[in-house]
Amino acid sequence: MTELALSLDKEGFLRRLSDWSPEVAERLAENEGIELTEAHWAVIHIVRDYYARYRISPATRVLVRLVREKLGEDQGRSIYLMQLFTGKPAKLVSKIAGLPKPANCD
Amino acid sequence: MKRILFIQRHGPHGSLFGQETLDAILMGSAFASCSVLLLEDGIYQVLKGQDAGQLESRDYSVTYGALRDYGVETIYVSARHLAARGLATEDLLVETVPLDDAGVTGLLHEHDVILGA
Amino acid sequence: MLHTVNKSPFAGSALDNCLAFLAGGDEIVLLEDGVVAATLDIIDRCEAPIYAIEADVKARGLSARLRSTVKLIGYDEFVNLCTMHNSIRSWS
Repeated sequence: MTELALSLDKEGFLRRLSDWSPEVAERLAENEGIELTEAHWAVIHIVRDYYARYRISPATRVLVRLVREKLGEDQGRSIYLMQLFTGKPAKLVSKIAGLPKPANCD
Repeated sequence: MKRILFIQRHGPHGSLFGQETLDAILMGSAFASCSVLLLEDGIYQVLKGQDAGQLESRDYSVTYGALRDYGVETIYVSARHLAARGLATEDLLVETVPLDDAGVTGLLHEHDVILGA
Repeated sequence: MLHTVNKSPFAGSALDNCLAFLAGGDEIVLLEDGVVAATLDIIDRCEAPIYAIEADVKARGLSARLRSTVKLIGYDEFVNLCTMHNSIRSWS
């Protein structure tokens, strides 16, 4: 893993989306005290696919529904996502996925 | 629940109005029932085939496709303004409901709050 | 004289004024929101050469809708046009 400094904004989001790679995701997650597992990656892929399609990071309520559709009822709950990505899942998963902050979250 | 109508009147990329209105729609949809009305050059916001790669501008037209996920009920468009631009609803990225002028008037009166530059 | 128009013909009188005050040898460049005019039949009867900035046309998804009299140009050609004319009038 390279140790090049990542260009981040003051909230820790990547400034250039093209800088992202799975290794970068690991480092961004580490900054947040999260170790990525397959369960995290499943959600990260969903969010990146959504961004590729609509050029937007999903808000929490949209994320919950997407995860429910793709991964199932047990995963499609806020509580599951909050456990994976701490208290603010939509914001944190976008950050680790190398995407902009969702529109309606502070 | 309040009903909000967002009016988009400006074309994309030439100013920030379009993007700001879209951001407001995404935010507003969290706490109100929202619809969108495209008038005048606002119709160009959802024209198919936009490619802003050569400009210092984000191509956010595809984000209109996500509005349904955000609970935005319907995207309306002025049929008269559409025709004046030589466009048809098939030229647009998202499903829209065309309205004549009386339809637009009715829509304005159905909403509690009307927002847009 | 080189005329530039950067506003949509639906959002003001920039294009109308430009077309009204053309003289022989004048040329027109449509840019930013002004490129909307490149898709409308109102420019068909204009005798002056009309150019549109390609990046602005593509960004707005208008490439397939251009009137036949419009020529697409890049920024380098725009600079050339500016240097070829003694004066430039920006309509906005």
